[in-house]
Amino acid sequence: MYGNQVLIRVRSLEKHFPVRSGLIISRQVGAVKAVDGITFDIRRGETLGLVGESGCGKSTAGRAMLRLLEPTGGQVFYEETDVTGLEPEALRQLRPAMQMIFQDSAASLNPRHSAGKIIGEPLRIQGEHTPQEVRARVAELMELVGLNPRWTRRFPHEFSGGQRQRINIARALALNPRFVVCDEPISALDVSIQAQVVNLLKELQSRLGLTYLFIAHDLSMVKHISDRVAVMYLGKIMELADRRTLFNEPLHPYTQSLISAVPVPNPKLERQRKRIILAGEVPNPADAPSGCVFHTRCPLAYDTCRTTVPEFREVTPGRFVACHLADASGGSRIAV
Amino acid sequence: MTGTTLPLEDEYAEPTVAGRLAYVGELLWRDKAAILGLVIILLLVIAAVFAPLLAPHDPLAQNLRNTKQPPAWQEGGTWDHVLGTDRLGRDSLSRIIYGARVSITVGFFGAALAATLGMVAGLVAGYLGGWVDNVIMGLVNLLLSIPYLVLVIVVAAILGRSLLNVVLLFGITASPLFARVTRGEVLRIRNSGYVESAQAVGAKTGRILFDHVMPNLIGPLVTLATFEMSAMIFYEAGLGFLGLSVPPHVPSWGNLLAIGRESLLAGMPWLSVYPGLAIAITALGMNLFGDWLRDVLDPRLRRIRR
Amino acid sequence: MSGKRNIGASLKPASSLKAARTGQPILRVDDLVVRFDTVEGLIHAVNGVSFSLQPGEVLGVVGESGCGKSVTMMSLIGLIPQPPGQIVGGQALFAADDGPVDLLALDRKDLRALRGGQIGFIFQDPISSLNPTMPIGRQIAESMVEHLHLNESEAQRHTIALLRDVGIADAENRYHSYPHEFSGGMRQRVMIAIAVACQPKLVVADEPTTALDVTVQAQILELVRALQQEMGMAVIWISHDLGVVAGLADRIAVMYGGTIVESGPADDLFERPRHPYTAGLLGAMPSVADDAGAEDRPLVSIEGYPPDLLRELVCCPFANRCSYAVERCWQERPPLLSAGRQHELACFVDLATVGSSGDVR
Repeated sequence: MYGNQVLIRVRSLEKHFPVRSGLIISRQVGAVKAVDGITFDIRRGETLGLVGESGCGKSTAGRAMLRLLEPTGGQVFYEETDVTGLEPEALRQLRPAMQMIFQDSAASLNPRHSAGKIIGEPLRIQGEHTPQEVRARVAELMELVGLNPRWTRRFPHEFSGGQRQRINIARALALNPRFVVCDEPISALDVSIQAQVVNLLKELQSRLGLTYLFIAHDLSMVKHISDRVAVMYLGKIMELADRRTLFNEPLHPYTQSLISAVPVPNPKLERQRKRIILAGEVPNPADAPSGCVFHTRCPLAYDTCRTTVPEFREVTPGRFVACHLADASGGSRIAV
Repeated sequence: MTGTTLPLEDEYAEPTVAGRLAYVGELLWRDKAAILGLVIILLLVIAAVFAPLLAPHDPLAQNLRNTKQPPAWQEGGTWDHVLGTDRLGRDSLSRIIYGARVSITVGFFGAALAATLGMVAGLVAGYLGGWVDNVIMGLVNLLLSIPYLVLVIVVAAILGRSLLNVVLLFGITASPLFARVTRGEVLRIRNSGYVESAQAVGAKTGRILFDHVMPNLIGPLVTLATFEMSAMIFYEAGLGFLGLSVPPHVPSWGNLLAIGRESLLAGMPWLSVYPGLAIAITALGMNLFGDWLRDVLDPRLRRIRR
Repeated sequence: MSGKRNIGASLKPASSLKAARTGQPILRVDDLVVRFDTVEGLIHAVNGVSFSLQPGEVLGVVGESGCGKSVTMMSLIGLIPQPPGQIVGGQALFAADDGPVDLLALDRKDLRALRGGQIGFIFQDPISSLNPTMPIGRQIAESMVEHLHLNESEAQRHTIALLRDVGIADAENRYHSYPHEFSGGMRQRVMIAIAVACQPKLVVADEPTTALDVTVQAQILELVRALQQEMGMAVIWISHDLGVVAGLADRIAVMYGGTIVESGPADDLFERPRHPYTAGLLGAMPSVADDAGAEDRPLVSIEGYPPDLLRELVCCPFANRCSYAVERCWQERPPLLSAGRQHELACFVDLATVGSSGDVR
């Protein structure tokens, strides 16, 4: 329906947090490379899944793309506009087009504001709306996300977790955005409620023609909702491919071990599955390993991996991997 | 989308004023200590406001023919002077009732001044951050590091003894506490999801401050102010005892204590015991109520009855 | 995989397997009822839970937040605060070394003697269960001294061996490290070491891998599987993640609204769920192993929200969300009854009898 037209282009995006030291005169002694040069496109109407373990920089990446955090390098384009170069007022005017749904629905709703006030907030901030228009739009939005429009005066703590996430979604949609960053929107929810919210997000996408960046650590859900998936580790994208390719024949050793680590709700299958158990845990992002950041845990790592950063390259059309071993012949497959 | 024809009022969840009050009433009923605190505070306020009506005598009227009279239930006491009289024949009960005026004034205005100063400083420091934050918090720490008593003595010596000076002094010396609490809350709120989402739709700083930051400051600051009020009433009494508070002829609880000290050895314990009791009961009441207030003002703990 | 590590070699095999021979359950819970008295009103957290556990059996308890799974298990080991919690009724017979005891009737001192000794436990958040001011080695050794009456040097020797068993490298030096010097996964290993230090007959684990990253979770699950097989203790593993219990549990109990709605052997339950809630839960959860094409179907979503526990349970707790609900479901509470080999079900409908017609109304 929307073709392969690209809506968002991210080029070598970087977000480094300075690490300072010194009591009186603080000086920078290092940097946490939360996002360290990531490059990808998001096509109009698609969902790009962004997965990784805690501290991999996926949430920071989403925020830097919307300039909720100021990037320290690289560029983000919305259509032809360079978002990273916009002056504050121009950025303000672009804001409605790019919105975000936050993870912790309880913390992202002001406990002192009613649902109606929260959902109507974007309308009061952007553009001219009469109070009647705001009320009508709020009611419309609440119905759109499956909330009773009579609940406008309830406060966040009077809603369940799933309902709060619906308020969050309604607020994000208030200004008719075209691109929505969903930052772990279901992680805090129960399984049966997760399914409701995921179905709602999918339905809204097809109805409103939305483009999603879906950030999550739950690979099963990402596989379900995404068209293409990018895997992040310590600030870098390790692999990006369409979901079927990525889950069926992962090329990067990290992707392989990540997928094999996810438990499957099927006891018989669980017993047969061969698992790749990685050694150790994710290294401290303030002191990331040299060369390939994954080499400290990679069962296939060799000398080059320790010294040279692998290029994030297109191995086959539409399939990007950052691994020295990766090629179409399967040189990067871990034997189990 | 249609459906906007629905009545937008939420009949089901709409909390009426009466409903809210009933709920707060129930929360209060569950906490008997808070009820006691509230009753004490109300009595104190009534005493202060209606002092001329309640006090049986003029607190300043001397009666040299009826000095050093003990309380009514003691040998030699009369019901005309329930809590007895002092060396100059002034009625103790009336002086304690009038003393509530000084205490309430010092407590209320002192805490209000401290909260205002502290909140502004904390807001600016917390929201702007960077070197502004460093300068303001440096000043705050400097103020906290000056020994309180020394400061009080210096100020009293330079500016003289007056109610206004006491209020100013308390307001300024307590403001660092409010500044710290405000700054902490501002930092927490600034990093909260709802401020982030307001930024995501392009809200400007002023709007975020008024819509999100300030309302969330009310709870912690009001609670702190309650505790500070009781502390200030204590301090005023202490200063009065040292002869550094309001002028000696004004019947503040501190001054009453100071006079009572001399009387203690002279066999007139009632002159210091009852003002002391008034101070202790007041402080207790405010602390009990403050504890309860802290819980009630947290919207996450509050649930409106339907 | 990490070769053949001789896990648990430093420990004697599970202290007594007498019970196994006689077929007596190690734990038998009957009609447990727990409530919380709060400002909001009385919360009916656990509404008559009964189950039994054989020695060496791994029971997975699954359910969503507020279903009562944690409260049930915490009340068994005396770890719910009272008040506001009240254990209103029930019995929990534990086959202790010196005869059966009712865990709910024990006084604090006797319960503490069992806890950490014959009953070990692992929590979601290890940092709050570890003493931050004491080296982890001493924390483990201490419970050995107390429960197994070892002397200091024996306890230290056993502890170092145990640390090695749970996969902590350089155990001699790590013995002297403090909890904050460990990463999340390592801390959970330390918690596991403490839980199994005294060769417990039962380990209660409450969402121990929920806070961990998926690759670390895989490590911990592997470790627990190996330890359990080596030492043969019974395990109650509480989780909201059906995938986690699928690979671990012999038997699964599904909880909803403070009751067990279905329990049965893991294979059986996953393949042929008979309670509509179990079926819904399985359908709501996508899997990385799903075949191509599964993604394009919407997830089975259970409409509505869990029951309000402020109300007393008078009907089936799932009735308002159940597409199979019949008149009777609203009138009385379905009891948990035996429904075939080792299978128990609390449902008037039973999906096994509904068949492919799908609709019983």
